[in-house]
This record gives sequence, C-alpha cells and structure tokens, in this order.
Amino acid sequence: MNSISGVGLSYRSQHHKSLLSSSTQVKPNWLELLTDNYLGYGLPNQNLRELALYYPFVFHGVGLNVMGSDPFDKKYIKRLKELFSEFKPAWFSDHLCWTSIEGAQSHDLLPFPFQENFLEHAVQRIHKIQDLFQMPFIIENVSAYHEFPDSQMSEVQFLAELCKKTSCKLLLDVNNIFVNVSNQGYDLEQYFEYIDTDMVAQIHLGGHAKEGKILIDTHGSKVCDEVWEIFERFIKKVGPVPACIEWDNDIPDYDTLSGEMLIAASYYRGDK
Amino acid sequence: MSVKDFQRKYFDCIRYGSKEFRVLPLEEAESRLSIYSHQFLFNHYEILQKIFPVTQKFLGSENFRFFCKEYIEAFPNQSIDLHLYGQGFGGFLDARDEVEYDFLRDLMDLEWNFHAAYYLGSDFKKIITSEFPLYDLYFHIKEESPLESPEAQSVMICLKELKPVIELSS
Repeated sequence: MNSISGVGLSYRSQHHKSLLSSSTQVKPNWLELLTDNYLGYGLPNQNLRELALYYPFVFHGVGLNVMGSDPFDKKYIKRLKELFSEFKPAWFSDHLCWTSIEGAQSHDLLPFPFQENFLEHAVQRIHKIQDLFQMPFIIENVSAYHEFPDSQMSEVQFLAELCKKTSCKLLLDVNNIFVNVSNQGYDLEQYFEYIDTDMVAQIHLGGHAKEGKILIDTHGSKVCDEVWEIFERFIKKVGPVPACIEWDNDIPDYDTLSGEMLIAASYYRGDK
Repeated sequence: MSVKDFQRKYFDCIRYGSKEFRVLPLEEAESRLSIYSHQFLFNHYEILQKIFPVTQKFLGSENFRFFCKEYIEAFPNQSIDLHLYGQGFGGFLDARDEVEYDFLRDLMDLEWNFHAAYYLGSDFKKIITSEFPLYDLYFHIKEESPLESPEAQSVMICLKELKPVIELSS
C-alpha cells in the first residue's frame, strides 16, 4: 500500500466506480474521506471498505469544533475512534474554527479574532485532541469573510504560534489563503515568511466563486491560476508535501478532477 | 471578552441579526456577516433537499424552500451529524394547514426511511421487499433495484387516476 504522498483526491461517491475501474487512466495516490459522511453504519461505510483495498486514507472532518468552548462531544469522539480503528488513516484533520455553542449547531466554519486568549484556548483544545486520539492530527486554515477589529495578530502569525506551541502540523488550504488575502487584504508574503518547512503535512487545492467584490470559498470549481502559483511557491519552500484536490460543491465528472490531478502532479515534477 | 461570550454573541448575530458585532470592513459589515447567516440556512436546506427529493418535486421548489426555512427556524439542528436532521420534517408539514396532500406524511416517512437505510444502515430489507399501500398510492419496489444512493433514486409519482405504479429505480 502506498503511503500518503503526491496527489490525492477528496472522495465523493459519484466517482466510486471510476476510482475502482481498471480502465481509469488517472488515479490519485491516496484519498481524503470526509469524516462526517461516515458517522452512520450504512452503505457509504461499505463503499469505504471497498476503497480501502486499493487506497490509503486520511480523514477530514468538520464536527470537532476545535475552537469551540463546549466540551468535545463524547459520542462524536467515540465514533471517530471507531472509524480510525477500522480504516487506519495516516492522519485526520479538522478546521481551525468553531461550529457550535451550547449545543446550537451552525454547520459552518465560524471565525474568531486572532487574540492571545484565543491562541491559549486553541493550544489547550489541540492538546486535548492529541491526548484523546493518540494519532497524528493536523489543522486546516479556514477562509473568512470579515476581520475582527480587535485581532492582535495576523492569521498566519496565529497559525505559526499554534504550530510551535502544540507541534500540530497544518493542512494548508492554499485556496483559503488566496480568499483571505483577497477579502481581507492580508499580506500574502507573510504566509511564506511564517510558514516553515516542517509545519505543513498536507495541502488542499480547490476553487472559489466571486460574488460582487467577495470571493466565496465554495470549493466548487477548478483551481485558479493564482492559487496554482501559491501552491508552486509553497512546494518549492516546504518540499513536495502531499496535496489533495478538494471539490465539495457542484461535483464535476471524474475527467475534470483527473485534469486537476494532472496539473498538480506537473507542479511536483517541475514541468510547469 | 471570553471565548464563550464571544461565541454566544457572534452566534446571535448570524442567527438572529443582532447588531452587537463590529467587523471589518465596517462599511460592508452587514453584507459580510450575512454570508454566514445565509450559509446557516443553506447548509440545513441542502440536507433536506437530499433527503426529500420527491417531496420537493411534489410541492415545487419554491414551496419546498419556504417550508424548509420555516422548519429550520423552528427546529434548528442540535446534532453534530447533519445527516440526522429532518426526521421531524414530515410531521411538521403534516401539521400545516397550507399542505393539503393527505399522503404527504407517509411519502416523507418513506423518504426518511430510505435515507436512514442508506446512511444509518437501518433495516433495508423491510423496505425493499415489501409492497405497502400509502393512502391511495401503491409503491411497488423492484427487488433488483440497487438503490445506490438517494440522489440516484428517481420516483415517478402518479396519482391513482393516471398510473397505478410508482417505480423506484436507481
């Protein structure tokens, strides 16, 4: 079984047959599974068992509520542990955001100000996750549609400090970086300044949509040229970190995803 | 402000439109915050669409969207697992005076059961091997239907006067 390297794909059931077919020309090296689609015990989980014969996995979730102030949900933790015990992913990830408060769920990736007390909170929460699971956990940077006036540091400074204090690595979503730079006026060069070689475990590559002046992180279109450029710069700086094509909405046919995977692979080879 | 206080106030802001929060850029604060408000509704609406495609077809997209919004406002999800959301939607619509289809509750229960069978792994055989009456509509389910996913299902609903059979196929 291959380890997690090179180009991976965020799995969608629409592409199940293509991924298993011997006639499919372009296949990912590994698959990223959306944890929260497999909390039940039905057919989706049976599909995973079939895929596990051919692909190594990582899991990527939205339900941990990493920055939440509620205790971690015990049933959710238990179910994740069952999944990870069965499918033995190389690592699992979730987002640096909060999703619920006092039981009320937003089912969205909500932002927070980059302040010292939030950093301290993040460190405690990630240490708790590391203790609970005793396996590699990585954290993804999210897109945001506004800033908070009382932030004390930039997003990337927050991320860098968090990585240093917890030894937790990043799932670096380069599309989200681009969306934040565009929407918030963040300094792109700061990301290259603060993100070190050994901070990044995985990269996400996805698309966005434009609504008026705002970029919306839809992950529902092809990766744009600017995001490919950021990707290229990062892999030159941090090395050939595994990268996953993440397409969450308006799911295209497999050929379209193959095209994206081939482009990503060409950047690893230095063809571009 | 503590993390918890911030989150309470922010959640109120995006759910109920409270004006307590200042975000940047100031001149676009309302529109930027409304992105999160819309996403809250949309994420819940999307799962209801996936679970109840036939009901949506029957009610029409606009009516379905209207009732989804009412349901989401009245009964927001309390579970981490969004796939568990919507079991009460049939009962909610059944109680609405505007909805006149007596069989709709049974139809929605059927759609929920398919979703539960697919996602939760609940007893599938009971559904796929039986032929059971729903009001004046009879669902005849082909035994060989693999029903790979709810999204793949297509249901032709024909009233008794037009065609006698509702076929479920993948």
